[in-house]
Amino acid sequence: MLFNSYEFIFGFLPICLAGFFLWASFGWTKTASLWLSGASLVFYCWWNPDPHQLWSPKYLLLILASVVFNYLLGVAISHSREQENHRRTKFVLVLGVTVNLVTLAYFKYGGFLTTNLNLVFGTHFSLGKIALPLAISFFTFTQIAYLVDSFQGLTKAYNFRWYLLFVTFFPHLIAGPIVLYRKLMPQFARPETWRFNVNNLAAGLTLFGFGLFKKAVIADSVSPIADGVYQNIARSGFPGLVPAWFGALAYTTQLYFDFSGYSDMAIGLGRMFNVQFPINFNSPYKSANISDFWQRWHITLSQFLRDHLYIPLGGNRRGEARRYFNVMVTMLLGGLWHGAGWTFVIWGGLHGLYLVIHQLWVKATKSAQWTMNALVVGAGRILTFFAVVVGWVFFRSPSFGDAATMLKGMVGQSGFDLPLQLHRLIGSRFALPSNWFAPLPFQAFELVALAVALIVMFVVPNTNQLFRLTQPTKENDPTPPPLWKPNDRWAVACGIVIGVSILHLSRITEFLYFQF
Amino acid sequence: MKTFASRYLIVMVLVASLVVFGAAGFNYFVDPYGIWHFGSAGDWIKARPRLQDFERLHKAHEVEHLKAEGYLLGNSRVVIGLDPRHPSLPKNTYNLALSACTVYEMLRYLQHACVFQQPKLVVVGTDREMFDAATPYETSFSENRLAVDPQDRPRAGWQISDAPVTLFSASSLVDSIRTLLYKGGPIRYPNGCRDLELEKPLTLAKNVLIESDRWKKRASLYAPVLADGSNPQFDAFREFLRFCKSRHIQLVIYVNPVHSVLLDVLRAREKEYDDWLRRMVITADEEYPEAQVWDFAAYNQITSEPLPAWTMVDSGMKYYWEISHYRQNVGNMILDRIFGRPDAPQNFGWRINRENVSNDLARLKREALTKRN
Repeated sequence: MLFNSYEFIFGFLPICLAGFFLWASFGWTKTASLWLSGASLVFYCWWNPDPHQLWSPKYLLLILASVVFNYLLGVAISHSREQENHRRTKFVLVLGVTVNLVTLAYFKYGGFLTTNLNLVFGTHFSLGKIALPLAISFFTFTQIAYLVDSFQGLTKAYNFRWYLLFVTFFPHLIAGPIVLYRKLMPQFARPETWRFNVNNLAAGLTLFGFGLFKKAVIADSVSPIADGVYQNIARSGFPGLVPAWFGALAYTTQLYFDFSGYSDMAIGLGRMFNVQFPINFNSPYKSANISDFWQRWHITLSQFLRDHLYIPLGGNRRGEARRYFNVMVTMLLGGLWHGAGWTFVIWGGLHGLYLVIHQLWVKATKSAQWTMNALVVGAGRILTFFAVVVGWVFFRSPSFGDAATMLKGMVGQSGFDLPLQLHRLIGSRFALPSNWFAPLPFQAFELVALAVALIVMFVVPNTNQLFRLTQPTKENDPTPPPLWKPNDRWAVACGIVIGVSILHLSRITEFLYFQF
Repeated sequence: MKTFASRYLIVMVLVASLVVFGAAGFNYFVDPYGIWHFGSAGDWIKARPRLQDFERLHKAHEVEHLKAEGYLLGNSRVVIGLDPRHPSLPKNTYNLALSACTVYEMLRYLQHACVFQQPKLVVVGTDREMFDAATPYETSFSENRLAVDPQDRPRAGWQISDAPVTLFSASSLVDSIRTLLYKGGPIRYPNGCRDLELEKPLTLAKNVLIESDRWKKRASLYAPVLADGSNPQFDAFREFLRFCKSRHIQLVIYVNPVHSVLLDVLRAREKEYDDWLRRMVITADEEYPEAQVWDFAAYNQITSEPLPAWTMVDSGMKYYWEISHYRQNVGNMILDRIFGRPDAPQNFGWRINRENVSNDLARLKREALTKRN
């Protein structure tokens, strides 16, 4: 089920909330937690890759099997630790991580691996058609983090009901944020979590509304620009400078508003259940450098990769060369995590390279005061933004060839392709050649949406600033209080935001063929 | 704090409801797609500029209220080029053609229309693009808005299937506003026909060379059959012929006369083109021998009208809007010729069947050679 669907907003969510707090109000917390886990599994099963079937039990069995397996391993690790049997503890951890990664590899990378092996060895080996189970990347990482925490003695779970709720809790199940057992489940141990809290409902609904607005209104309004350009490439087109940049910028904004909107919705949903999730985005395109970017973009994934890949590889403790190697490996695998394709690997590798270059730059300019100059910092922001935009070209392109076509367009190797509509306005007046003009592969008015999206992205305060989602880290934290207040003015503004978002849930299908 | 939050929630939900239901009421009132108010009830809106992009939606609903005795079917060439008020057609004829229509869509819309009124006559303007095996239907096509399912069984609730998106959506709200602000000609689709003379400001200029290249690309993507050798469009065509025959509907099929520049593009893969025409004629002969099939594709004075570098609605061309779409005077000639009106041009349009289709193709080849030389 999607957060941005009628059935979720008007059906699933109210029923799920009402049931949870109803059982909890009787003091039946066991029933309430089972209700929430059961509802989360219904939420999960609503998705099915086969449109001819209402739901697919095999994917439900897969997630349940994964939950049972990891729970048992977690218990085994905790027992082994208590008995100080280090060899067995390590063995169980390695077994758990391996089985999780092999399962993920089979479903997510099986086709990719066999295709590449067949190419290299000239074989025709096939694993058949493998559908990617929904959320497998997220629930695999969530559970690996749990096993590692158990190994380090940071987490203990002897209650299957709690563990099931931890993994399946629907707000984070599909696309994160990636949560830690030790951060999430203690919240369910507090009595106030089980009591209906109108303040949290108000804040949660507002956050959800803002997320919905980002996804349904902004991201979905700019996506036709990027889709138009990439579809043009798929039909053997060569976008010129103008459409290529519009397409790249549109995808950059679409991805941010889509994913950060989803994260905001998840955080808002958690808040409705009196649960606080970590933030996942913090205005990443305002980053001063690429390291800063990775501390602001998909934060929980960055933290996971740092704690479970970069640091175990040695982090920055084994010399400079090894440190750069570790960065590259982490980013290449991080790229591959996003999708089974070489373009994702290239995207990850490119970001690894950016990070290495940035670390070399920091080393070279360590004591230089001029690097703090506002102009230099501003230039850094612009450079970072455009480096990220170039990276997204690989992320979005279905093949390396398409990415190359797009990049060629962005450097002007495929002409200008000024909008055809401008020909009558400026073409004849300035005697411009007619081959400088071409029909845009999207509607001209959609550029207004792109302009608005860019302004919102760079000017409007982000969700963290509005709602102060992160807790103060120090006693005298200078971070200002949240801008949002539960007063009438905000209620009207948020009502409009939610109303407009609901109006964007469905979009009538238009005749697409560029006709007469 | 609790009181503030409760009040906040109430105000927020009320405002959100006001936005959503206010928009729905406004959309219902303006009705930008012409699906809620018919006849005089919708007359207060002089033009509905969004109809051109929502033909499938509009026509599915309008056809219910017209009870037409004749239907014109086909793609945008028929939408623009055939006038349902032509004297040879039954009095209450409706242009049910759809832009970029496939044969399957044509069949489904006829099945849908026949639920409300059994027509006496159906005229189909077709060409090879409608038989593209790889294109089942256009993206804006929806089965849910048709009164019968593909097995011709009644479907409940089809009238309201478009209600959520036409009433409770921002895109409809934008279209309602665009409808009210529109200052151009009166776009009304009288009897389903799009009269381009009335909507000049909507039409963009087109460069002939760019257009020709675009058609070359499209034509190169045409798939005569799928990987398994089948063509679902020919299956739908067979079903269409059987449907018309079983309902005793007089059927006339003709091949559209596109401009010779485009005909060259479409016939670039000559064998593919010839195979298509031959198969279409033979299928019609097998399933409905009484159906008339005409070929208006030709290289003659009409189709070879000189083209300016840029074509616009007011480009001054006599027979064509651009290389793809003919004007209604050509459409009238087609209907004059088919229905044997005395002033019909004799050297334009040939009745074809399985016996003479090869001669017809040879004629086309001869004309192409003559033109080239």
